[in-house]
Amino acid sequence: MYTRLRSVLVLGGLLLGLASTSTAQDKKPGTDPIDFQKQVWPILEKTCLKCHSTASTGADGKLKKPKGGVVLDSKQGITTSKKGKLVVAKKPADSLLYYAISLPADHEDRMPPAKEGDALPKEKQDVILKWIEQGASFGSWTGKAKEGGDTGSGEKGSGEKGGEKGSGDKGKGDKPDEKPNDKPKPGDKPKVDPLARLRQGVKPLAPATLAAFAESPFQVQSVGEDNPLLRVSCAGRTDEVTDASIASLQPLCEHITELDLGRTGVGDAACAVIAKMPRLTVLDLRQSQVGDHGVAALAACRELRSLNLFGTKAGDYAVATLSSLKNLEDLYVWQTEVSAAAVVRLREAVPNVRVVLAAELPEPMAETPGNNRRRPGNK
Amino acid sequence: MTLPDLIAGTDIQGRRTFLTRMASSLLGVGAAAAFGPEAVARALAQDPAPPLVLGRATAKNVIYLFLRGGMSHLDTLDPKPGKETQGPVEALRTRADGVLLGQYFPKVAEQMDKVCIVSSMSSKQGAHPQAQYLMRTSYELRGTIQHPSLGAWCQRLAGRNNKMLPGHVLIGGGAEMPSAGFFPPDFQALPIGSAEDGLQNATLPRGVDNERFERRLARLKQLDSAFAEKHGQRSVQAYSKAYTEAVRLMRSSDLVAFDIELEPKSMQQAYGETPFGAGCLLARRLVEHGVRYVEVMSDGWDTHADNFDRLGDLTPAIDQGLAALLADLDARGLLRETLVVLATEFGRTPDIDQDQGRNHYPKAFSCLLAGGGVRGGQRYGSTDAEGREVATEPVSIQDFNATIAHAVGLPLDYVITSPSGRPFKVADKGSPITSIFS
Repeated sequence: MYTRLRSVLVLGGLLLGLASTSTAQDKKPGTDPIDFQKQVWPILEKTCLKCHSTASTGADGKLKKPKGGVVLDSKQGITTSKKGKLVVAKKPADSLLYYAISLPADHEDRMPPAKEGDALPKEKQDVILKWIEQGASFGSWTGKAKEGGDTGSGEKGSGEKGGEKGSGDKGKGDKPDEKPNDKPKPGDKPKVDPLARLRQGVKPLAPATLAAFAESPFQVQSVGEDNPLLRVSCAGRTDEVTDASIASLQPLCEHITELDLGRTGVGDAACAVIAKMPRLTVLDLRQSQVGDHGVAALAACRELRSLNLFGTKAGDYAVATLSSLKNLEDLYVWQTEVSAAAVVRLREAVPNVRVVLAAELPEPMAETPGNNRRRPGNK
Repeated sequence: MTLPDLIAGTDIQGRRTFLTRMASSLLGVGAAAAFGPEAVARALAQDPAPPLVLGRATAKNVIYLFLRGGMSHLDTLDPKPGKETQGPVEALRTRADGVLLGQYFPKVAEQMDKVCIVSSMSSKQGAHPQAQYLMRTSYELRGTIQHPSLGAWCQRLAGRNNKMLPGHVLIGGGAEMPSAGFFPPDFQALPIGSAEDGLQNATLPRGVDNERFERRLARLKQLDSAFAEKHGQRSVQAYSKAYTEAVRLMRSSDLVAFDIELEPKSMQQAYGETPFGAGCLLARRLVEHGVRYVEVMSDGWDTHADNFDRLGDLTPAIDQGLAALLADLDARGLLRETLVVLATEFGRTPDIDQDQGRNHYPKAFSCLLAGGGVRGGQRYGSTDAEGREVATEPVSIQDFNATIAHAVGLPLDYVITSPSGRPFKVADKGSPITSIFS
């Protein structure tokens, strides 16, 4: 993940480098450290402060509180908030600020909200991305201060780490001598892992709770280093997993983000437990006994991105109940009762979903002469 | 050992051979004859460490299809239409805009939206055994040590998904190639000689029912117990544990994973009823059941003479099997968690010789990745106009293997020390191509 992220960041730097050539003076594009006060602050000021300023009494005498407890006009406000860390130096994926502005327009958490205005243009998003990547230095800016402080020292301050990796420079061209890790490709988009948001505020489970599963048919793993969220599967002991055994997952409900119950004996009753997993993003029920009523219960899993119902008893009713899952990206319904018409209706409700209704298997081979028969001797 | 010997060795096994092979795969003791009891004891002393914490993996499983002998890049994955080096082969448009394939892969062309071709592979190794070794281990072949293959690394660092089944299966030959290397022998791949025959000797012999088998096992235990008590060594315990695990697999519901005859006829036909197609189908069944790393071998790609005729013979099975595998995995929702790799040890010369042949050419060649988080419909890197030199974004064999390891979430800088005291990493000094992932 880290290296992937880095290549993405390098790309961000690359785009920015191109965009900022006109404004930066006498510097190579791509290497300029982002100056918070000159480049980031104006974006926040223009776009965010209407709702996210320190509480103050307005002209009408009413106290105006910041929305959602998010305050963007002070250094402290930007680094922390009620919702979690808005900015984590060098880790855009963990920074809620960047997450919120880079969401697609139809996402309910997108900032600014659709009714308040359009998304930040890509260049501006990338300024913030690069600023976080460079270490999120504020220079001399402390916030809640008058405008136009001494910019000179601010520039130096923010420059301290900017060139550290020389990442912008490296990503600049297609020179073959660049490090293979950092190969940027046009068309790459900085993508934020939804798990970064879902993990906010989740405390890791006590080791004893996890240890209790050592002898169970379930395999319980963390989804990544230091991540409290869990991936649960039961490969190899699928025949032991039934509706009754799913109940033992109750203590993990808040933590499970990926659940693989493929080929197990679970049916509709298990879905009642699964419905209590608010952070579930990937659910695999392929070739289980789940049917329409079980799937209907899954509408409670608002974060669900991938749902595998291959070879289950799900039908059109099941697919209809999924239309409230706006985050759904992948749905597998090959070898079920689901009809093409139901899929069309789901696509209307959830435009971004990819539904796989059948395999595009190749036509059988014509009689072939060679048939890849073994030929001895690779001499 | 010649190839036919090996095939014979993997195809026709006695029951004892089966148990020994199962043992070697499940626990590694079967290899004791070759390694000596000390080696087994040593292996068990350093029991496989609990799987390390993985990075955020994009793939859970790997299906690694290996075309032995060196597939011509110009005629398959990296066509150069209109150039003299292309010979008589035409280029095909595919479902991915601007990504062309050689005429031999019309069915794969229909699946190109799932595939990333890596066109800028390059190495310095132009001899088959050395190049195959390098491809599968990331290290140069040496006389003093045998390196573990990528599959063994994967099992070692990521653990088994299904504890009941082997962590690593090798289908269709290639058992003489490095597998566990210097790792304890339980990281050895389970060889399946022929996918059509599946796992041999895993059912009870005729005339032996369950009860009788139980009695036999009990008698075996009885005979062994005195010895085991007297020689309470780990290697002795390991043997009996291996037998227990083999018996457990024989009775496991997962045993059906090895039987492609359970697939509908239409599915078998979709994969193509060829050794390679059957291998792909078996690989899909194994991955479904939680085997993490499956390799399928295809031989005969060393097309020194009559390159074009031979490709005409060789490619239909690959085209059919690979296309079916990609479509089938995708529709089952398995492609998102399974990285499919099509690899070969080197390319073939752009210049066509007087025998209509192409010869060894490691300087520039192509491999293919699909699924497992890789963005489809793209070509990574390129060769020059005639396919002679890598033009952009060179990828070494180590880089390629690092990319596979990266997808599975293996720690690339994790060092394992060989019994001889030297440090090794999963892809040596390779760096993953991170930009091809979506």
